[in-house]
Amino acid sequence: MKNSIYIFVVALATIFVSCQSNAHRDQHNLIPEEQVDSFPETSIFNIEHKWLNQFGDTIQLKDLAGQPIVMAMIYTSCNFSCPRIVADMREIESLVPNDQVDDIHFVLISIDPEVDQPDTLKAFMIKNVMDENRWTLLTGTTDQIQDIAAVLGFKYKKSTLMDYAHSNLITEFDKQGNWLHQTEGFDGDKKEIVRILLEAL
Amino acid sequence: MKKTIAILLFTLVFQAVIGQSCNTKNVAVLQGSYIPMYNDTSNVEIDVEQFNMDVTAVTNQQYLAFVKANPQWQKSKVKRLFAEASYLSHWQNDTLLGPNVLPDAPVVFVSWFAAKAYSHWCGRALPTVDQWEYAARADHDHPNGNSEAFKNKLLRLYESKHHNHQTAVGKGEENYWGLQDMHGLIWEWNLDFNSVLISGESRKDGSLDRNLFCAGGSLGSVDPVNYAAFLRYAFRGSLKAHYCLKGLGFRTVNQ
Repeated sequence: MKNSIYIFVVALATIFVSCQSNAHRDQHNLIPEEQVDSFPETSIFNIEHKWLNQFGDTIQLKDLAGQPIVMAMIYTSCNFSCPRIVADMREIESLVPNDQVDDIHFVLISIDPEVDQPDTLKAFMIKNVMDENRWTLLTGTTDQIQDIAAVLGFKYKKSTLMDYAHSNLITEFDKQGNWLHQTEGFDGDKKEIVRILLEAL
Repeated sequence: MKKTIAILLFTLVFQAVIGQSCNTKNVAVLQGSYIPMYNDTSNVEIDVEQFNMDVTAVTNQQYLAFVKANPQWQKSKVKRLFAEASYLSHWQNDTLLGPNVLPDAPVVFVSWFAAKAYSHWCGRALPTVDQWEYAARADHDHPNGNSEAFKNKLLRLYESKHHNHQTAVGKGEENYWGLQDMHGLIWEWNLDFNSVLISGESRKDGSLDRNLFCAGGSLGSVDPVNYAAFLRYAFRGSLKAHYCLKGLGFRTVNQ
């Protein structure tokens, strides 16, 4: 009898472990089943991943809702094209009238989770004189980065130990996370982007 | 003792019921290296670690179990960000395949996000381009099938039978690893389908693969004769993660 009780306990434990592993798997789902949100179906705020920002705070993209967003993917140790992407975003920022610039948010998502931890991102923010109220720099897992890259149509590939080959994209979203506009390469019409952003305010 | 066995059996059955039914047959693909058709540093072999791959593509039946357990992936409920309107458009409704859909045929009209979510649900992953290409170059007798006969056979397959999502999986000949239908049944999603910068705009991108579409680009590819591989790379380069196409499904590998 003792023996059967023992086995029963083991059996229950196995079931419990199995349920646990199912629960773990569910974490990978992009949309929790119970989630009832008010964002449009095409909104990037439907992506529920949790990121770390440059201050080490955990945030979700939807925490940025309510402001038009200018977004790019970069990595901070990148020497060639990422500084140009950031420069382009800062040019957009500088073209927005002073009384409206605080209503627009600038987001950089790192594609290099090994190097770009919150402190690296913070150092990058300070070095590039970014206003911390207007700029959010995010780091997450490879899995999360893949999902964002897929939504943006951003292509990337680790080419050497340190470097990535990647697209150069700047994408704008409205207050609800809907796609507004995307620029590929460096020759985008910044004034047009600013016009689109202001219209979305 | 009999009691022990009975209880253990009970446990196993119970687990099977509460667990999900994505236990598919899979085989080991042993480690090795290969030269991708396109590479940023030409002719460098890529090492591929041993992995374990589904013998066949995920079927309608298997995918049905997934959407029943995860209603947010049913066709009326999926968010457009993650799958375009054609998602599972051949199915009768959310949880019914309907008379025109063969349960054992590969599931198609699924987006990358959906394929990825299914793989995670099974505790598995989508194969990377390197894993897939490495496994797919095997012919029946060799891990590296590079005979003219094999290439010509592939070409014929890619010309004729692709997009054949009405055929059950597992009808094709096993390759060296024991994998079936790697060619000729459907296109398959890769985890890093967007890693090769082969889009029409690649010259604008910060791409190391920019030689792909520049003049004479095909001379830089490893094997200009392997047109089937070229087709696959070009196809992947044209995809977006929310696309749901008639001839595009997936299989999974271990994480």
